[in-house]
Amino acid sequence: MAAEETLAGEREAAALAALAGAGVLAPGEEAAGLTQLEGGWSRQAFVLATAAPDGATREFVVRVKPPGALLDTDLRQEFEICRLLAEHGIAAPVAHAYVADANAFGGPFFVMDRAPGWAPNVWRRRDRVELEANWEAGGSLAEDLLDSLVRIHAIPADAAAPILPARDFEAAVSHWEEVQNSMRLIRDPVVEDAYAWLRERTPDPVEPSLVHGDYRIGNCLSEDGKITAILDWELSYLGDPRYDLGYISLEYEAGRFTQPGSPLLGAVAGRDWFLAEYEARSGRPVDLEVVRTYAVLAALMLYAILTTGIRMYVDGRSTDVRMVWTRFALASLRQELAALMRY
Amino acid sequence: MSTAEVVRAVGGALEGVAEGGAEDAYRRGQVLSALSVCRLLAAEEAGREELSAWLVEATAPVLAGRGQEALAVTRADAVGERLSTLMDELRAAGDEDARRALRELRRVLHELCDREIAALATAA
Repeated sequence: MAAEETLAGEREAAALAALAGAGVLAPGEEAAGLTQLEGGWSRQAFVLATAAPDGATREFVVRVKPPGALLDTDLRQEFEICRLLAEHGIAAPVAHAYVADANAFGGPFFVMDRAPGWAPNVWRRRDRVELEANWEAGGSLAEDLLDSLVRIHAIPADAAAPILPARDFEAAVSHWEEVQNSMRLIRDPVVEDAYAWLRERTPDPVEPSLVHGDYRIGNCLSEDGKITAILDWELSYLGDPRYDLGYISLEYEAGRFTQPGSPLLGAVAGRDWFLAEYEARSGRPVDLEVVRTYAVLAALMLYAILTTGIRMYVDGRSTDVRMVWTRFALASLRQELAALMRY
Repeated sequence: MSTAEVVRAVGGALEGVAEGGAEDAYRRGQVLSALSVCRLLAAEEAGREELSAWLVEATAPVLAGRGQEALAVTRADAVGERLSTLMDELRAAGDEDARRALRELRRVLHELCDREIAALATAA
């Protein structure tokens, strides 16, 4: 226990020093506690509470890329994307400081404001009920989710290009196939057939834009029916924005697991409404067959990431039991792949 | 006790720990995930024998049509290797017989996915 307390103290000090270096702290403002958040598959997140001499308190989130993280993506890229989003008025956490040097968190981290709100879990029935009630009551969350996506895709590509990797359709397919093949424990005929299916359906190219890569209501914080922050940018890249449409149209992302999830797209919005409004507001045509193609690619991406988690657990590089749980999520994704390809 | 019964017992113990309150959200999440693993594994184990027998029977005609023996083992790695290799061959062949066999194999695999999910859905 003493060792844990020492580590927690060292982590508090590291986060506080980063904030001080960024000029964020008030005179005399000190750490008042550090707790680890539940979520985060490829990143660890901690809440740092601070207190100033006048009694004012606030909270920051420390986002850490731990050793052997599930996704070997660049944390600095996430930090810089958050700052770019703020410049374009998109609801994203205000990021203050990035630390790459060796530190008590065991990996690079950045510190950001803790945005208010709640991240729904669409695989939890009571969260789906709440989201569906929001849609029935006028769909304020659907409106925000759509509006934010249109504005993310409207950020000029040359603004994102210095920060993000560029990845066209073929490169995206090859990337996830390589991940799958290097991490798999066994061969899966449905998954291998899906990669072959994709290679026969290369969409006509469009102008690249910032792609979130993991765009869903569960990666947003919301409060009083409004989205307050869009989180988790570790899968973002410069590419075909229709990827985000395919991803969010997956039934898996509407809470499907061993039982059907919400009939709504992403458990948030009417499917037809979302896609039609996206087309109208973005000026980008929505071809449902292209969306289906990207839905298959998105399912394969999820499959590859979950497979990576299982591999990490089996190899002893993770003790996170959620990596074991994902073994069962693979069955759901495999079923959706078969349905999407109209087996 | 069967494997499924043992796993359910471990899951019950974990549920008790989770209800008692863990120190922080992360640790509580770990316990609840372990509980979910136990429930799903128990459901999978309970349905494994029936699902394996069905798969052997359902794939036998396609395999026979390609001059291959039926699946003799039902370990996931061996089944995955056999069926993935066969699909590679069918996609590459491209003749009408191969296309027909590929359609039938995809139909079987889709039903396998549905049956697998149905088995997992029995998790208490």
